[in-house]
Amino acid sequence: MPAPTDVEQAVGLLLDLDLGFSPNEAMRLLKKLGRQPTLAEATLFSIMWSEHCSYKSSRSTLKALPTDGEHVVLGPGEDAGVVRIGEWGGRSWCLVMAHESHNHPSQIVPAEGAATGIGGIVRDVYCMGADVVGVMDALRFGNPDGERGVAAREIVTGVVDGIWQYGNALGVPNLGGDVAFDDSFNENCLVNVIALGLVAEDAVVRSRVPGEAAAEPYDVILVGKPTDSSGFGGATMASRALEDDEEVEQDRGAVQVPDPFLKRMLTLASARVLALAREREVPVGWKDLGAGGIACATSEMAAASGFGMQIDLALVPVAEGDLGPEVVVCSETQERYCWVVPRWFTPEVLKIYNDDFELPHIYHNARAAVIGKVTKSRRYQVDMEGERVCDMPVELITEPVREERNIAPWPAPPAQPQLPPMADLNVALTEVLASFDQCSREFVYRHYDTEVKGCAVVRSGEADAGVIAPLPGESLGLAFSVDGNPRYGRLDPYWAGALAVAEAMRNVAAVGATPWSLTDCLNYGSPEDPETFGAFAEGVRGISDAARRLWRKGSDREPVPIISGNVSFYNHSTSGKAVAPSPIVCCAGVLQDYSRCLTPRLKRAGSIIYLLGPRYGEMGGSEYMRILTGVWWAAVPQVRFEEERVRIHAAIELAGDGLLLSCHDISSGGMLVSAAEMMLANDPGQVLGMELEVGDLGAATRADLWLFCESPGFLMEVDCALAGEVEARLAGMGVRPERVGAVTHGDRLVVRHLGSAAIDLGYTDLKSGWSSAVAGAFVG
Amino acid sequence: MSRDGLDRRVAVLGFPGSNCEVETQRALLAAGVKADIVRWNESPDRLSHYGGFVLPGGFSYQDRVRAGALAAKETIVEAVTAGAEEGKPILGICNGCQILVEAGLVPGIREGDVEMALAPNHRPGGAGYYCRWVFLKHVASPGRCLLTRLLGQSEVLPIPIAHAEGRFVTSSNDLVATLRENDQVVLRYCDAHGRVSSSPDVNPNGSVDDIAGLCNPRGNVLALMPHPERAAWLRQVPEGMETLWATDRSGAAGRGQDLENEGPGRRLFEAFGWEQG
Amino acid sequence: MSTKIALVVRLKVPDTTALSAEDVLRRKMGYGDRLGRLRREDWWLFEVDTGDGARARARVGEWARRCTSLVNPNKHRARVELPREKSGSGSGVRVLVRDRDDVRARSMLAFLRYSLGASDLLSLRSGTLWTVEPGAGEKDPRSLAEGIAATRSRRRGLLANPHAQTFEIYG
Repeated sequence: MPAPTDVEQAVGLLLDLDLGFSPNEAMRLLKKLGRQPTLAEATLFSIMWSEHCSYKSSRSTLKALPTDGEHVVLGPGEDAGVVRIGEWGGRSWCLVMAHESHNHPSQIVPAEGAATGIGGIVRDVYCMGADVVGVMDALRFGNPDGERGVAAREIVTGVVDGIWQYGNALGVPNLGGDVAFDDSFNENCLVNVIALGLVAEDAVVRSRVPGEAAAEPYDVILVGKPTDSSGFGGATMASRALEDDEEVEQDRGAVQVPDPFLKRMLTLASARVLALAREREVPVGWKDLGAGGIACATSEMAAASGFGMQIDLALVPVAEGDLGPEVVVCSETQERYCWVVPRWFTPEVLKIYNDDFELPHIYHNARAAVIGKVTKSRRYQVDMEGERVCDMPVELITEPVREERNIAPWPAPPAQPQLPPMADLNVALTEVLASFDQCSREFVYRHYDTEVKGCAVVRSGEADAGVIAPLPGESLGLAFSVDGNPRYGRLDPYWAGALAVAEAMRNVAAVGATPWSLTDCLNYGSPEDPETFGAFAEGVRGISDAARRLWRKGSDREPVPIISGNVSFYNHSTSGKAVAPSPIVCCAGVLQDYSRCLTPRLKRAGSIIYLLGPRYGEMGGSEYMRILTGVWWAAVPQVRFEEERVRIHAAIELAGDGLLLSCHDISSGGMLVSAAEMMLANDPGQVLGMELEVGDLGAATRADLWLFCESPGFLMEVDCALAGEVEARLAGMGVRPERVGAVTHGDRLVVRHLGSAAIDLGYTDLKSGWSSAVAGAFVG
Repeated sequence: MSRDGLDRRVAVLGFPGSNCEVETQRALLAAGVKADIVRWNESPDRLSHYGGFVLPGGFSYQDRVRAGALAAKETIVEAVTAGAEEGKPILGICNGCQILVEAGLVPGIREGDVEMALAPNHRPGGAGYYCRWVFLKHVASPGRCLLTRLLGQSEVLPIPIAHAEGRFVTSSNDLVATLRENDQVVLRYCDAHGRVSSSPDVNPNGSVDDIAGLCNPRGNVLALMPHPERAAWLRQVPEGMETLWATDRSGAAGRGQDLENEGPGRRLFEAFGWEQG
Repeated sequence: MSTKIALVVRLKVPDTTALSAEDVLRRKMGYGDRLGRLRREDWWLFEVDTGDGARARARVGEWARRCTSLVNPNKHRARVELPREKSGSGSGVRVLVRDRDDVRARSMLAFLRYSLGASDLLSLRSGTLWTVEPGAGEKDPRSLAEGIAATRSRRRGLLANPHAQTFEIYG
């Protein structure tokens, strides 16, 4: 190492580059290299060491999550998680899941930002060799009626447009998602995207150089859009807060142009390459380019199997001239992949992309091009016009870095005061149903193609989870739900994590599927803020506890594994106010026979409605308290793990044995809202009513709290003739169902309490506010 | 018998940006019709030997300029035009429908002229892409259109739409009357009970005369905005729809094999079957 | 009295629509040498409830600044023009294509009134403003623009389908 003053000077030079290094990181980099890095090298490390790529703050906390299991083929680490789901048609099939955030870009350019999110997440799944069978989106927006309401509304429209414009054109169905509004997202929306794929276990492709590269020459092929500067700086942007409008203006260099048309053609051509490679038994490696571009993708592929790389940037097709080497090697230009293939196979690959699928005509100057070769040196070497701009051991790049963060307890919200019930509960229910958070999501999902690929069984708006039958002719059904309630996050970060897992599993179970695997995307403010980092750690603990204690049905207490995920920090406003802690969890469920799947729609007059799950009167974060007082109080619902697990397992079993007519989960809004939703799920031409009785008040103590508290549970519709059997089966499983009413002819929702009707509303009363709450609020 | 027996096979055309090729091919196979997916830049000579064509749904050229406008200029559309003149069955679904209209194949009254457009959806409270199940009524006379010859007169079909530009319009004053006179309006939007209506609940895009599907004067080319391949199996029908198809679907709970049975859109693909024809 | 002001919005990033249209015109429609470049801009025509041109311009500028769906400075460059004024850089003939039933303008108008309280916005129209730059060998730019403006058949025309759209050629 140089002398101290020289070190200071070297650190100063690095910091002057304004790449986002802390002084410690600058020191670390100088120590690692033992010399001053080139600009390309410094840029490379600034991206690799960003939170987005390095997980430097979160890695040690995330270790607590259960990520392994009997069926896990690949856990977190590669682009997507892979889990085995069983044998169909004589082959072992795997589900592939990836889940990421695209929050900051969506705040700046909502349509492009969200579209790029979908574009990036599907690449993660495709590059495992899988076919993408669906995407989902979890969206958190600012208050449309708040002081920044106009911006919030435009972001809603832009984000939804971006998601449909990309996903629909690519030809992957949208399988569901969720939407929530909160003031804390006014200046920092959350756009979490999920891609789901299916691949035969023997066809999983790894993002690494095959071992065969030791024995024969391997080329590195870059495929897709010509590299440009528009994606430059994307990853560091995602890890830095949006500081002010000036910053937004400056960040525009990072605006990426999504192109689903090019992606569609890349997908078809790549599938052809994969098929050919399999047919001829050619060992290949394949990886998508995301943050860190060429540098990140190629170095990771080499490091994963102990090889080196030699890349010549002069061979990289570029969109415009005069890009510096640091831009070409690190740009986050969309719609690109990287292959490593044996040299003799290279012409085949180039022909498929460039001739058969005419990439250069699909997008100006897009193509497949050889940009380098695999070496046995274990060094990462990059040249630009004869000059070596990067030269170091490949492990230096991929070595984990770690940042210690302090933890402080999350401030406890005020205890709930005693408040009188709302005088007219009919008004309470219609107001809750007409709120932005509770109303029909049709204004979002009607724009999404739910039908493409022809595998849809249950679509958005029909049930708690989306269901597809992805293997034609086979009985396999897959169910998906994504959940997370920002109000709970704001009040109690631990229960927010646990509740997100429990709700996602409950939703999947409500359609009759067995929760099989999970992904999480953890959206928080700055990890440098101890309270925020503490909230993150609590969220992880909540997710971990729930995943372990709500173990997979049919297993020997094996946690439902978290096979992939993402951490998104620095989600906060100009003034530094962090978003509500937002752990967002996606659950995938497996149905052995999709024909058994359930929806919440009321089916038959005369059938019985059962409530599973005592009402605990926990009102923290509830919709009812919001309209009653407008303030947030403590006591969010808890997940009573034993109770919850037994209920989830019971729902799966009853559904699988065909004992239920319909089933709906109870969460946000409470059991009364769930009951109303079961009615509203019928079209006007086939309405059924419900007559319910307020049951055992228990801990809820009051009828209004019993009806509106958000303690987890299910409502189930059971045919009269099967009531005895269902009650006996549930008793056998240790669940005490409460018979709360019946389905009626006619169109009224009536709830009686102590002889009088606490609720009496017609279908159209319920529907009008619920279906039109957002009318006029958004463009388009 | 032409080369490779192609005259008894259907070519599903993959334009750049099409995205329903696979399920369309699958729907044809389920209907007993052999089909190949043919890429836009493959040999036009070979293509011309196929016995029929399907232009599938998707976003050719990502709907740039207008949906279907750029793909209509592709060289392979010449083979489609020639096939139309030879009386081959040709079905354009969604984006394929848009391409047929932009290429002047449908309605095809003045040969080669573009006589209609598929304009952006128009409905109260919203624009943009729209995806949902609707009902269609088969209004053409029996046998009028080759592709719907297996549908009953006035039959009502549940079927999904998914498009941003699906509103048939024309600037020609008498075209709609001519289409009716010629019996070229094959399928119209209707409610669950078969009542045709321009109410936005029924006609999802504001299409003139509630047109969902139009054929050419000869009846062998059908341009159809909804997606029959997404309604080709019983399992695809949403269980909550007010239709006997949905009743059948709900009734098949627990009997997966029954759900693999025919859905309401299957017969459009069966219509390609030369054996029956 | 009212004043009409046009807002013309261009992408800062590559315009894939214009590039694809150009590629198809060249390779599939025989415009290889005749066509130089094709550019595309969004065009909005605001009718403001004032006789004062400066005030009308100011109002349009304000809406453009406050509504990122009109102009998002992160991806757009915008300028305010009088209707059919030919300003901005570059040569070429303009083809203004408008939907007969302008759904897009209608929903934008509703949003501007609902969210920005634009009660003095009397009407709004939208369109796509194409600029057709002739190739080196082209002597008659106007006839070039006329040739590609209206879709008459599979071989003739591209930018507007006259059954759903109107078009004007100027400049």
